[in-house]
Amino acid sequence: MPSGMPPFSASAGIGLKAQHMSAILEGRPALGFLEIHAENYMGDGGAPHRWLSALAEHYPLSVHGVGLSLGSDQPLDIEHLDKLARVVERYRPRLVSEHLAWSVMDGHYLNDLLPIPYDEESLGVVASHVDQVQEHLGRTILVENPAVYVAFDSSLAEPQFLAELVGRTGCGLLLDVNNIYVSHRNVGLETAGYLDALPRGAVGEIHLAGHHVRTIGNAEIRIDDHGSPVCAEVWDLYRQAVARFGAVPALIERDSDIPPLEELLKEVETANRIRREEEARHVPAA
Amino acid sequence: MSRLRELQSRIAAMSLGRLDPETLAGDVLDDRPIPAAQRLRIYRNNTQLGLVDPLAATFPVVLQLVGEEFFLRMAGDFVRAHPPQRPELLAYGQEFPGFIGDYEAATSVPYLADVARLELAWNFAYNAPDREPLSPRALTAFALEELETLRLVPHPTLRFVASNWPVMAIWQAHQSEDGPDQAIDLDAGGDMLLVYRPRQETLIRKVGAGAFAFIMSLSARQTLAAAFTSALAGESDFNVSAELSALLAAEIFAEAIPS
Amino acid sequence: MKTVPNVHLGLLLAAAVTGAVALTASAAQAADSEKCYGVAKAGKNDCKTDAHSCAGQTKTDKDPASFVELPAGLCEKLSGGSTTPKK
Repeated sequence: MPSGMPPFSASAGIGLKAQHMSAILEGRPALGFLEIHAENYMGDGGAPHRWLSALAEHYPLSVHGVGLSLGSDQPLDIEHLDKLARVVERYRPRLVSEHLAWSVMDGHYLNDLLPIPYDEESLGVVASHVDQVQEHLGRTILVENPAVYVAFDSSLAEPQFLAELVGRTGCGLLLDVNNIYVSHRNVGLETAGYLDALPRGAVGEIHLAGHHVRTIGNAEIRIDDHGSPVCAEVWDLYRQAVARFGAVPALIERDSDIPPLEELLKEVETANRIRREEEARHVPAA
Repeated sequence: MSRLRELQSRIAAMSLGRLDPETLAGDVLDDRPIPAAQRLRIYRNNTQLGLVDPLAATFPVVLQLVGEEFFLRMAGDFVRAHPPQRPELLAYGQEFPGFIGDYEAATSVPYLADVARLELAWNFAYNAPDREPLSPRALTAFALEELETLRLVPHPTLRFVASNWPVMAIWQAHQSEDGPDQAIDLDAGGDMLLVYRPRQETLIRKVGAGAFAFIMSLSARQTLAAAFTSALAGESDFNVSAELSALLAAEIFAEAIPS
Repeated sequence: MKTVPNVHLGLLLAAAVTGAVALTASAAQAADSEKCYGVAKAGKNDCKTDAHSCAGQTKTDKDPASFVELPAGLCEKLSGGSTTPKK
């Protein structure tokens, strides 16, 4: 680790948005880290890199990929993987993560995070892609559980699938507790036992976000739009996650209806408070 | 083809509006009360809006000019016809200006495609590699004869935009959310523009036909003498001293290559 | 036609260089004194999966019956011209 790198404090972080860059650089709020979407920094030069370089002097970074399409049953896009490697090389982030989802097929990029069936076939595809990415980057990555609107006839439950993926590839997990809740409400994903089914040391980051409740007919569906504050049920899941996995880096994600920075800092403080309370209640993990 | 791949092919086609969600209903668990097809439509909607969004980010003036509803329709049609092939959306929409030009519903806005071309050029310069521009001082080392055969290489961020419409004024007038604060005369004539980013800021420079031809010629790696000839063809009274002086001061070049 | 075939082009170019050096002497200082990162624009890849809260709607589906007309007063501040450009 190069000297002079900002320390990775226990505080929660936020997803970096262009509209907050100047305020963060000027006010230097206490944030554990900043997370970027890798694809937004795959351009060659210009303002995005100048801003991020300036911010990286003060905050640790997490690089969150959204376009690698680990779940596509076709070879990974090597050019894209190379570009991800360049972003990682350039900014030397503390964390690198991607999604348990797919977005590329038949020569089209769909800019969505589409779900996969949880079975042996999918596991083989995802595991080989994760292996390839980790080998290419020369480091382990975290894989994030998805928010889904449909479920498939699957032979494995989601946490078992993730645990198996960890076992086969040595990857870590990015646990999105909002996604667990959204999938629970949308397709009946079993939350009881979900956290316990994941290997304790595997969770390297937790995502916290809000979602949108939409009514179709007489029924509700929850849309993972990252456009509102974290809801009470998700905070509760976060509390349980801290109890099981300890003080792993947590992130407040807001990708639409971006509020002023102060509002996100309040949520960061809530996350920090819950973490402290849980740490006080439990014997710290050895 | 594997079962997974076949499923993904079908979902991809559905997401791009090429397959009815109803035909995929059997592929997913049908959890009432919301029918499977309705749930699949969420993905279709997300995919298409997820591709319209980056276009709105690259073409904000086009969006302001036509309004959100029209833009959504036009960009949605574009997304379905030209989905991106790669996962980076920074440069998505290269065919959008041409698509707008052919878009029947937009024919009453004849300058729209050229505004889109300008925005595409701006977007290119914004993300292009950083490169220290050529300092005019570096040219003082050359003798008169050397200057004539010198190849001045334009900055790699440079893009040319030529339009029969006053697209620069239209663009400038829409740099705030409120829209133009002064009238724009569409009869004011066309623009020849150089869009580039020598340092932090992306710049748009309006030039005459001579300077436009001059830089284009230099872009094609011609010598200053040859570029001068091209400039005179475009503008018979092209004042090379004043024009080149201004272009050098505007940091439009990256490199000087002696012959 | 005012061409300048007989003037020494090198002299004209040298004059351009001299002029540019003079022009940039003052401008460079201004640029240096200003700590500036350029305009920060929003990124284009997000991991949100819907920003529009219209999921389940067929908002982007083609439906000729609800064809969107351009607003009549497209932009009141843009005047003249109508559909043919002036050269």
